[in-house]
Amino acid sequence: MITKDVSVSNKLGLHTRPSALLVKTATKYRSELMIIKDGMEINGKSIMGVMMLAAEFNSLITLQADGVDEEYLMNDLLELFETKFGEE
Amino acid sequence: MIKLCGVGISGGVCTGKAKVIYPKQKSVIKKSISPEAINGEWDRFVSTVDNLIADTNKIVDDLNIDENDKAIFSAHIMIVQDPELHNKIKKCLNDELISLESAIYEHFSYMAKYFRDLDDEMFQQRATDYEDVGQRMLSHLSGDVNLDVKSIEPDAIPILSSITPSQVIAFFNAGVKCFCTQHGSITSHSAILAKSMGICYIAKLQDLLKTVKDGDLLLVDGKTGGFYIEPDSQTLTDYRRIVEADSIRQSELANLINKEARTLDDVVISLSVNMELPEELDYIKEINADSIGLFRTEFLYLESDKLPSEEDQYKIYSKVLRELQGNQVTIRTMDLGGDKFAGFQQEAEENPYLGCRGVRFSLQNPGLFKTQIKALLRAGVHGTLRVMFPMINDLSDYKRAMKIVNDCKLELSNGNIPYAESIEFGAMIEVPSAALTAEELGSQCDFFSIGTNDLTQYTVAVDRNNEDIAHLFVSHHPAVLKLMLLTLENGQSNDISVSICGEMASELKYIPLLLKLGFRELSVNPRMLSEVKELIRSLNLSELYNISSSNLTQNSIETFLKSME
Repeated sequence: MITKDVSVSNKLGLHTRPSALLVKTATKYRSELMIIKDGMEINGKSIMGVMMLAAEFNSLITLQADGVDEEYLMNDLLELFETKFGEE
Repeated sequence: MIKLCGVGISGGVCTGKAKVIYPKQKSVIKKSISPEAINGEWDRFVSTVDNLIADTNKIVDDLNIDENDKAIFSAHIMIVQDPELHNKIKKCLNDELISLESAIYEHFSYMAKYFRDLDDEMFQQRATDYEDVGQRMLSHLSGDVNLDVKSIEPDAIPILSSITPSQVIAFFNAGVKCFCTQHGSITSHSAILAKSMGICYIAKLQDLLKTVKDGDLLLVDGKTGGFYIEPDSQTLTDYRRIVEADSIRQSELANLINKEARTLDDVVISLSVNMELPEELDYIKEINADSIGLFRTEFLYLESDKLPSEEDQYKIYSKVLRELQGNQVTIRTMDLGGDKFAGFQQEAEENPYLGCRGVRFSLQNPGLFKTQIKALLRAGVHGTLRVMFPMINDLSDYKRAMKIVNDCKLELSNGNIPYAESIEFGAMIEVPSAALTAEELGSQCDFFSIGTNDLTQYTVAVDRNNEDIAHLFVSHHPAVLKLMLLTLENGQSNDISVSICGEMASELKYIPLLLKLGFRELSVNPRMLSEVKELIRSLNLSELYNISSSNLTQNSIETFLKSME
């Protein structure tokens, strides 16, 4: 299992489009993905879960990937956060 | 007459009869099922999900909606495919033994409430998406797929508590031109859709559902957010006048969209538009401009508190070039002084108009300049790009700028990064020294673009913001026109394009003068494009008062302008 802390760096936060992108990315892999924010723990492959986090600009979240391809999954996710989901 | 004020989201003025639509309450009653029925209910769920996905894909395919709008519906697909939704429904069926309808209703109501209770408005708006999907699933289950949109006449104005994206689409298909809601906001998906479909829409009208009754006559002003119930005759007449004048004018101008800017005596003028922000692209495509004659890049530096990266800029320039589909785009490198940049603490200049601005600033800050040039060189592969430098003084200025361009090309090829070799580079002619040396400049530049505002201010030495002398700021001063003509002649003798991108080209009173003097390329304010075109199409240049470089005096210019009044 790999755990990484990231901050939401795009101005609008994890609104619909970035959430959808995150879920689509997570769904490509076999590993499970948990996302934790302020004690709330959700399934990273669920758009509903990700949206429920209501993660705004600069909020801190924890990504937890667990499974055979966890490294690849995590790398993909980190890149999404680094590139601000292609937003500002 | 009752007047309410909301937030005008999109569209102009609309009148019609109110059609109040109350939110549907479907399958609110909780129904129990027997354990034997669980599998059947689950199968119904799976097939509903499949139907809804097929239905959504059809909406997206049928309607010619753009990528952003499509994203709204692809989010709907993700919502119904959500593994957590499936777990939740399975659990409800198995453990609570309630009907599929009850389970769906409970789940989506809970989700909508969850989002509505959040602090952030952006996330609150997601409640509507969940309500929408929930209602759509219930509609599918009951076989009542069409929303109650069918009963609405195209000239009715639907009044709702809030509106879902699929309702917007359904209204649009039914020919509805206007709707109003008590809630909603400018950031909602529904608002974005309404805007891109040109539907008149006012949101946030307080007490709307309490105040409006079915059949009330309404007057809706989507621009200002003004909402009138049973408007009095005065208000109606006032608005009718506005609407009539506006629609006549608009249709006159709309007729020109696909027509050439050709004078009565068959002189064809190239009309392009100036663009401040990439957000104007949709409008620019709509009015069918030949090309973009001036895309200012200052917004990149002014809008955010950090400097734009090469990648940021590359993305923006590429998008603009791709959207113009091969039509020429002329991008001007940053035209700013140091005081405007984030992170640049430069002492205030005593005389900023004669200070470090335009290409002078760029040359003194080669790091910033190179970032922009590289982004431009790379983006050039996506269309037809021209790049121009502002505030060029003379040939040596231009050569220094081109040295940086060549350095950038070298760095890109060393890094194996693709860029366009065919980009044309040109000089803005807005300083008298550049106009007066246009002959040697023209031997090196690929094109000239005349900036009339600065050229006027530097020629007559007048700051037009100074009220005491603003009347001396005269763009049609013979000195200014002579410099412009010198630029034109030297451009022509070097066989390069010469366009005018300053305000003068958007001023209707100057168009005949500029054309008569021989200018054939104008870049205008996009909102003025049709009017400029209309004027050009009404001119017969050979019949105009004879003015040329040989008789250019204050007197002859005044006579010319008077003859056009």
